[in-house]
Amino acid sequence: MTGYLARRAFLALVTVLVAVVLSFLLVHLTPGSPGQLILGAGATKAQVAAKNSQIGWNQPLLTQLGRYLASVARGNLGTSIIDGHSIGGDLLQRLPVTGLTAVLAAAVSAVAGTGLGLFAATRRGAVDRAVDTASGVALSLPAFWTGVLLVYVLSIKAGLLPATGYVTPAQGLSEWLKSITLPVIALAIPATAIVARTARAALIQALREPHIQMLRSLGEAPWRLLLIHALRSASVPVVSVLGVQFVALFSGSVIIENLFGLPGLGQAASNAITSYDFPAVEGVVIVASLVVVLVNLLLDVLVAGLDPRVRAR
Amino acid sequence: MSITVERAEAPPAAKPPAGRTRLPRFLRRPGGIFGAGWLLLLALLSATAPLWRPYGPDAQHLTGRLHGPSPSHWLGTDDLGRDILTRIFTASGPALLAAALSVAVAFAVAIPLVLAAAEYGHRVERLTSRCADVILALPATIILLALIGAVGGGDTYLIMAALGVLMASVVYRTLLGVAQGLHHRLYVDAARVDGVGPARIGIRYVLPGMATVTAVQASQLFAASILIQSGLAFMGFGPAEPTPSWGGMIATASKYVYQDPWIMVPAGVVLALTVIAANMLGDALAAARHDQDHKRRRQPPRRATAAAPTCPQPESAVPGAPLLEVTDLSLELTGGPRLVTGLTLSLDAGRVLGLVGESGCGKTLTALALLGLLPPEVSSASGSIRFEGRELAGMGERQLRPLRGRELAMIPQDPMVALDPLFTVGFQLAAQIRRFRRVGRKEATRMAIAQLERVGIGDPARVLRARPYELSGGMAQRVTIALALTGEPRLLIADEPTTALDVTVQAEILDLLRRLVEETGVAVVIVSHDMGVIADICDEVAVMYAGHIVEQGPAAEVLEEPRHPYTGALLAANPHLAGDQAVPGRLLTIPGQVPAPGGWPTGCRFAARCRFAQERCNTPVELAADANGTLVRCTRAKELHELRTAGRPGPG
Repeated sequence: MTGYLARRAFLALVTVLVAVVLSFLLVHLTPGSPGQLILGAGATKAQVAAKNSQIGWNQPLLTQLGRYLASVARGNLGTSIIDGHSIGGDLLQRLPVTGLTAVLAAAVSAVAGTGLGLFAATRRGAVDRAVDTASGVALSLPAFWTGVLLVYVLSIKAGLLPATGYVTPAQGLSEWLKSITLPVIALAIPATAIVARTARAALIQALREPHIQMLRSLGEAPWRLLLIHALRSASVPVVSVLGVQFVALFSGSVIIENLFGLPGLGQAASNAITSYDFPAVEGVVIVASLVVVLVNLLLDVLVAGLDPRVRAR
Repeated sequence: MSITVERAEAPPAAKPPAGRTRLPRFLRRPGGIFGAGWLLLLALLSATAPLWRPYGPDAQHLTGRLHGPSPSHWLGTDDLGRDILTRIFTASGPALLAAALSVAVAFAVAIPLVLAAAEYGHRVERLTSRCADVILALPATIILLALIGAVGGGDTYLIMAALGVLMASVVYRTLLGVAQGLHHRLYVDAARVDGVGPARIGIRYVLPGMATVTAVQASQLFAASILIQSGLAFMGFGPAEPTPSWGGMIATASKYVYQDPWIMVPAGVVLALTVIAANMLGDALAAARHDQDHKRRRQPPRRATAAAPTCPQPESAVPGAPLLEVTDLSLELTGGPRLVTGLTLSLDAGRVLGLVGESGCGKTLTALALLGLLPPEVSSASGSIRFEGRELAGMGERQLRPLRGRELAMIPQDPMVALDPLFTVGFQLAAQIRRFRRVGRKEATRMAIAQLERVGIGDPARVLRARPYELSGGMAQRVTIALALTGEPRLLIADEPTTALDVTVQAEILDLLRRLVEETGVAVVIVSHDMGVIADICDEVAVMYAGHIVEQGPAAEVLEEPRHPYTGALLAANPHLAGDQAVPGRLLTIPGQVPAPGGWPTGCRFAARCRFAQERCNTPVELAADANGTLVRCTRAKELHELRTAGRPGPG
């Protein structure tokens, strides 16, 4: 158990480290300098040089990388080169917006997808084909487009939910839920379809296992076969797919935030990229990678809890 | 990214790729036709767009802004009065090319790594796999945002090429399993022995075997790439204005959703259709491969009700009737050939009946039919199965379930997979004890310990805590026997109960079964291909060949003096006979193979392999009683028996 988790945790650590170095290198290895970009074409060489040395750009790359890693390790993501605000503090405020949207969408798709998978796997026939076709379409729907459709149908036409505007959970739980319902639905549609397909395939396979046949020969009740034995073995691939899907959901949340006026990481990324605020860009990459990797580590623990053979590895 | 690696498990059943023409099987599925059709149409329209588009892509028409569809603008105009149709198909060419580029890059990076990892084994594989795992765990879209932060969003091709590098980890993970599977194939080993070098092995044998998986994966990655590319453009990091992009057009639509909801439709539908098409094409390719692997898949499950006599059967036991009485049972593949024909058996309490024969002769199906656990594609065509006088054939699942476990139970073929690996032995055993005996948790555990002791397990407390995969085969089989006995059934059906076990353990399990029969009076139907097992434990034997019984009778008679040439051949081919029998100098083999169902001759089904076959063996032959009380299905039985006894040296 500890061996398995130690390996997963080590992999997670390496992944975050790679994300940090990668984002640093991407930003630093590009032609042009931040001074030039910030000051524009009209600035003199001296002005650009002064700006660059103020940022620390003219130091050797490895020195900059070392210093950056050391400060990130201490939890310090630096300050914005545009207005000097603390990047870490800013992102920490934005993270719950993006993160909770993604987590909620993942939870919705886990429950709805497993339910649909159960339904399809046990009914088979026409129901099965209908679920399969519908999920084949749904898994391809881009959230940023279904988001627009949902705004039109549910906010403008039906007037059920606010189209834009974010309310923090502290300001009111139900208002907060209302403000993120549309993005959660838009994100959960393709994820639900993928979970449903995985759950269906895994359940059908599990129901063919010899140990299910053995229980059947003992006259075990069908609901116990399905919900206790087959569902538990099917939950292992479902959780693995959820891990992959969480990455998609988090990225999707970043992409659709502007549509719903959510003050999350996507907005921070947009602002940072358009204003060449490179420490902020790096910050977004690091925070997003950290969250995605931690959630996947959590799911690894869950898999180990579900399948003792994984623990024994 | 919504890419899953899950479809990767099964390596394709690739034949040596000898210039085989590959029929586009995927095009026989609606999803495949739609997917390939739409992508082709889109590519065609994009390539020819400059020739047919009605307006310039940037031609503004400020008086006709946000107009819906009209004869002059089929799909309407955008916020600057530009023709939406024109802009969609101006954007499509670069979008498709960029997506194709990322797919090409992904494969170009991954395939050499896959080939190297499969060829050079563990050390290389561990390094490349760890790297792939790390990249796989990174959020690709977010990493691309860092790249866009550095180079800007204008250069779509560069960004999509970078996406290809990140997606290479997905390709690597999927193809590695396939390549490793192919590497272990015999013809690849043979080529290696012939001195074919690693690079040539990769190109000649491994790459072609990966073709289908590659096609499936390419479609899926293409879809993912289009999605990510449009998502970034939607955020505002696509090609700079006025160059059109699908994502950018949807972003514009989202701004004007109040004034002109129509403009979200065209670009969104085209984008969605394209992603759906690529994913459906991938599904169709994967399904086509699946079909190829399982050439003959059967119909969806349908319960066998063919021979269901609807009149209520006597529910109580009929006194004097045998415990189990099977009459003229026939099983068939639904809509296909018969698998078992005219099977008649009868068994009393406390007796052991052996069903013996080569693989594929219908023994196991017969055993499953007794439990009502036939696979969905097999059904009983006719005949009756009476258990204590009650008719089981045609009973529904609901009626059969109360009988299973309490009246009939099964001992499985491979005990290592017959217990749920995710639960402890204790949980599984206690659950059945609580169900059958209606006792509490504590009492159930106590009874579980007693039950395990009864089947000869020395330290039951440890076994209760163990998971099935922590047990040895013999121990696991003892546990499944304990499980089967929980409901105190009157009939045990044991399907090759010792085949998966070591020889020494086999004897122990047979001893245990024999003891249980003596102690409890349970009857056993034991299925085996091993004459030694049959000789060891059975009172009666039914020898099956090609779906029917060829010889049947008391075990002693059948084994000592087989009347059917097939029984004789089986005995002669058996390496371990009972102790008092002389082992022949050379083990005999039976030439040829059991004919497949549907290919049975009208005459004796064994005739083609029988060294005593004559002309008259080609007429149908029934089971006939022999002088010694056995039933034999052989025209020449009597004659051959006389020959045999005459040729045998007299006593002394």
